[in-house]
Amino acid sequence: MTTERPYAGLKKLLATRRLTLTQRKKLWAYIFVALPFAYFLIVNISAMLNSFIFSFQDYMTISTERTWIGLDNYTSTLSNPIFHQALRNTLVFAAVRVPVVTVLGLGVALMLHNIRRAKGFFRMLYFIPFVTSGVAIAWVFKFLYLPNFGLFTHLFDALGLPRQYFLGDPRTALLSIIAVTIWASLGYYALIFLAGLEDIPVEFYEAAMVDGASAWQRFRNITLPLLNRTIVLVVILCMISSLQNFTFVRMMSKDGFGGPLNSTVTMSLLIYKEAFFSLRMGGASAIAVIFFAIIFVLTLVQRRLLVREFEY
Amino acid sequence: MRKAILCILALLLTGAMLVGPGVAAQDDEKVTIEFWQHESGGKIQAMASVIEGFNELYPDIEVIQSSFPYEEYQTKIAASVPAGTGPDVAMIYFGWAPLWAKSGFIAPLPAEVQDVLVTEFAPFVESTKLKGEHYAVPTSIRNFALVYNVNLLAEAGWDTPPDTWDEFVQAAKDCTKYDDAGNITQAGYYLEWGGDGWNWWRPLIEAYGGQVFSEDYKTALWNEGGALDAWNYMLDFTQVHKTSIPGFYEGELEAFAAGLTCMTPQLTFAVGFLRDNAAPEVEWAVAVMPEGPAGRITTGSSWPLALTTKALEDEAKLDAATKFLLYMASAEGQERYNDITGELPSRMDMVELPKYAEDPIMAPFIAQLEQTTGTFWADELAERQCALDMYDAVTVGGMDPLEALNMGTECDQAVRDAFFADW
Amino acid sequence: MRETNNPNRLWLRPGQIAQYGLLSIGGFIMIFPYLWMVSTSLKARGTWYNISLIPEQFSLEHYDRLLGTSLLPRWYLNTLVVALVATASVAFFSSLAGYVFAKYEFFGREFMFMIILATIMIPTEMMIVPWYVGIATIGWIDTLPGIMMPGMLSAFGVFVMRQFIANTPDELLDAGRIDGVSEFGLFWRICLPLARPALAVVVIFTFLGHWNDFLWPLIVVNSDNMQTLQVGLSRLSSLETGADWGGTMSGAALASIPMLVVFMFFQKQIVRGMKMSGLKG
Repeated sequence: MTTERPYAGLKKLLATRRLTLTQRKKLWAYIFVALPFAYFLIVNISAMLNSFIFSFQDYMTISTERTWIGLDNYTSTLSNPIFHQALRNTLVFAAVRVPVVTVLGLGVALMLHNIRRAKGFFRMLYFIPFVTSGVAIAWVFKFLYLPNFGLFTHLFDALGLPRQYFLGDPRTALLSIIAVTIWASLGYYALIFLAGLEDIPVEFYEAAMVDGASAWQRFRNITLPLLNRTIVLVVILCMISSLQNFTFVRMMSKDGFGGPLNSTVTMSLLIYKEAFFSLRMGGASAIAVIFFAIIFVLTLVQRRLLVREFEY
Repeated sequence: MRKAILCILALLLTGAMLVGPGVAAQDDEKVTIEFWQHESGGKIQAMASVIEGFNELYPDIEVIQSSFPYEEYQTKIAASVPAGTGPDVAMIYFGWAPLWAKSGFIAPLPAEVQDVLVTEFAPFVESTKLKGEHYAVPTSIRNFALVYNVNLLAEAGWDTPPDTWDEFVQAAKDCTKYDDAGNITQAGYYLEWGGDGWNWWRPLIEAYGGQVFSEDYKTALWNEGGALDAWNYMLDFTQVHKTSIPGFYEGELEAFAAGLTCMTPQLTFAVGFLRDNAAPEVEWAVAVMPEGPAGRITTGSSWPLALTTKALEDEAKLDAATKFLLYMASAEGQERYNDITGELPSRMDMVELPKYAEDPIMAPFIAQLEQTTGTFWADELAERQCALDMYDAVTVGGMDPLEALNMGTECDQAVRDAFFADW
Repeated sequence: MRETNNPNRLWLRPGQIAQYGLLSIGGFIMIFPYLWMVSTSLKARGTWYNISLIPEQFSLEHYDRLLGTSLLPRWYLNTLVVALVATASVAFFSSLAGYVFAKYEFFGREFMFMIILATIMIPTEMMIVPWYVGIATIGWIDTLPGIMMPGMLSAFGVFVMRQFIANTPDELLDAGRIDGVSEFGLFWRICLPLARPALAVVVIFTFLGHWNDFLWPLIVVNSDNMQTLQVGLSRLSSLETGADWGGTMSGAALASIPMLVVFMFFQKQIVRGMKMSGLKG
C-alpha cells in the first residue's frame, strides 16, 4: 500500500542534484514499469514457465504424480498429424479472416461515415453482434447452417447453387466458422475505422473536389494514406484474436473438438482438448510451447515492419 | 495524480472486501465432505434430495454440493487437483473411470460398498470394475430402447414398431419423405454417428454375432466377423437407403422431438427430455431394441458416484464418504434420485416395483436390463474420436468403407495399447 | 458527430441511396441472428425447434425463471464490479507501462517490452491450472478478486498504448519538464489525454471481454452468489442433452441488454473518444 510519506521521500531523493536528468528519468521509468512488469512475470510468465516444465514431464492432468520424460512430448507432438492440421487451420484462420475483416470493416465504416441520417441507428446495428455472447451466436448459426432446413440452404437453393453440408463437410467447415467470427467482430473493427475516418479533415476532400478528383482518387490519395495507422491497428488486433480463437470452434465444430476429420481443429482447441479431456497436460504443454515459439518468431520478424509503419 | 492511484487502489479494496470468501463458518462437530457433479436437467435437485435423505440419518455429516457445466467439468477438476481443493465424492461418466483410476484421481470403493454392488445391482456395474475392484456407485442406469413416433410410423404402414434390424431398415425407408428435388423432409431414421449412432453401433456388433473388444478388453475387434455386417448396416442408412443425411438436424433427440424423424434408439434419459420438450403433435412410444441374427442386445451408460483419493487422506472424511456412498446404493437413495430424474434405479430389486415395471414407457427399458452390456473404455474420448473419424472418412471423405474400418480399428488399438502398456 | 457543410453530400443523391441500400442489407444480416435469438427466447417449451422468426406460441416462461432467481441482481453486480475494476486497472497500468516503453530510454527496455508482448501469445487454456493453484494459495477462490486477478493488466493494452504514445512529440514532454511537471504528471496530464482514442479502444475491448468472460470465472467460482452473469445464466439453463435453448437464449439476451443500452446512449462519445485527433504530431 502506497502511503504519502515514502512517496514524498522518494521524490525528494530523486530530485537531489546528485542525479543527472537522464539518470532521474531512468529511475522513474523503472519505478513506473516495475508493478506492471512484475504482474506479467507473476501472472503470465511464471504460468508459461510452468507449462515449459510440464512439457518435459509425463503429467496426467488430474494426477498429482509427474515424472520426467525428456523430449518425448515434443517428438510425439511433432509427429502428430493433428498438430500439423491445427497449425495449418490456425494460419488459414488468420490469413482469411484478417484481410476480409479489414476490407469489409473499412467498407462499412466508409458508408457509415458518408451517410447523413440515422448514423446512430446503423452503427448500433453493426455493433450488436459484438456485444452478444458467443454461445448464443454459435447456436443460432448452427441452425442457419443446417444442411436441410437451414436458411443458408434455402438461400443456396434460390441462387441455384448446389447444397452444402457446411459444418459437416471438411472442405467447408472451417470457412463456415470463419465467416461467423467475421460477422461477429465486423462492427467493432468498423467502429475503429469510423473513428479514424472522422479524424480526416474535410478540407482535404474539398480541395480534392475542386481539383476534380474522382471518388476513387480521393479514397486512394487521401483516405487510405491517412488511415494507415488505423489499418495497421486493426490488422494487429484481428491477427491476435484470430490466432487465439477458441469459443466459436469449440461451440460450432461438429463434435466440439474440431471435427469433421479435424478440419476445424485450431491450436487453442487442440491444447484445451489435450490438457483437459485427453488429460495429457505434458503433451498439451509441449504443443503450447511450440505454438508459442512459432508465433514469437513470426512476431519478431514482423515487428520492425509494423512499428515503422505505425509511426509514420 | 496520486488521487488516481489511490482511487484505483480503493476500488481494488472495495472489490476485495465486497465479497468475503463464500465459505460459511464451519462447525467443528460436523464432518464435511465435498460432492461435485456436472449440471444437467434434474440431477442437481435429485442429488439435493439424496443428500437431504442422507442427513436425516446422519445429521453430523455435512455434504457440500457443487455443480458445474458438463463441458467444463473436467477442466474444473483438473484445476482443483494440484490445488488440493477438489471433491471427496464426485459424479463421473462411467467411461472415464478407467483413465481416472489410472491417474490416481479416484480410488476403489470401500469393501462394504463393493459388496452391495456385487449382490444387488444390474450386471452393468461391471463396466466400472477394474482389476477386480469396483470404482463407482450408479445413480441410475440408462440403456437403449427404440423410441418411435406412433403416427408417422402408422402413416407409413407400420402399426407396430419393427422387431428385427432388417425390419428397422424397411420401416426407416417407408417412413422417409422427400421433396421434389430429392431432399429429405422427414427422416425415417436420422443417424447422427457422433451422437447416438456410434453408441448403438456397438451392441449392434454383438447382435450380428461379433465382438467389440476381446474378453480382456485389450484388443479392438471392430473389423472382424459380425462387426463387418454391423458397420455396413450403419453406413447404408446414408449411403444406400438414404433415410437421412449427416447433420440432418441439430441432434437426433431434438429432431425426434420436433416430429421430423420416425424412429430413434435412445437412452433412458430421453424420456424426461421428451416429456418436457416434444412438440404437441408428436405422439411417441417406446419398444425394445430390434433383434439381430445373434439376439437382442443393448448397451448402457450411467453417471455413477466415485470416491476420490483425496478422501482417503482423512479417516473421518473417508468414513463419512463411505456412509454417503452406501446411502446412494440403498433402495432409499436410489428412489430419491430417480423419482426426480425420471430414470431407472440400477438395483435389480427395485425395477420390479410396480411404479417402474408397470409404466409402459419404462417397461421396454427394464425388459432389457439383463442384456445391457457396458463398454470398458480405456480412453473414451480418444476411442470415440477414432470411431468418428472412420465414419466421416467414408461419408464425407469418400474413403472405402473397409479401409476406413481398418483405420478406425487400428486407431482404437493404438489407444488401448497405450493404456494397457503401463496399467 | 461533426456535421459537415459539404455541398456535395446532398441528402438522397444516388450515391447516398446506394449506400443506404447496402448498409440496410448488411444491417439486416447483422441483426437477423440477434432477432432470432430473442424470438427463440420467447418460444414456449416444445416449440423452439420451429425455425421461424415469429414464435407460434409466445411464452415468457424462460424470462420468468431467470428473473425469478433472487440472485440475478447479485450476478449483475458481481459482473459489473469485476468488469469495472479490471478495466480501470488495465486502462491505468497499460497506459503507464506503454508510456514508459514509448518515452524512456533505459537498460532492458526492449527486453521487457518483448517479454510483455510475448504474453499475448500464451494460450489462456495453459494458464488456468497455474492461476488456480496461485489463487488457491492466497485464498481467493470463490471471491471477486480471484475472478479479476488474471485480467488486471493486458499486454495487448500495453502494446496499443505504447504505439500511440510514441507519437506524442518529445518537445511537448521536454517543455513540460522545464515547467517543472513531474514525470508522472507528464504521463497523466500530457500523454494520457492525447492517447484517449487508443485508451477508448482498450477500454471497450477489455470491458466487453470481462463482461462476456466465461472459462476463468467458471473455474474459480464455486458458490451460487459469487457467479458472474454469463456463468450464472448458463448454469440456470443447462441440460445434459439438447440443452434448454429457450433458457440459453433468454440468458444471452438478458446479458447483452446492459451493453446495448450503454452503446445506444454513449456511441457518439465512444466514437469521439476513439478519434485519433491530436496524434498527428
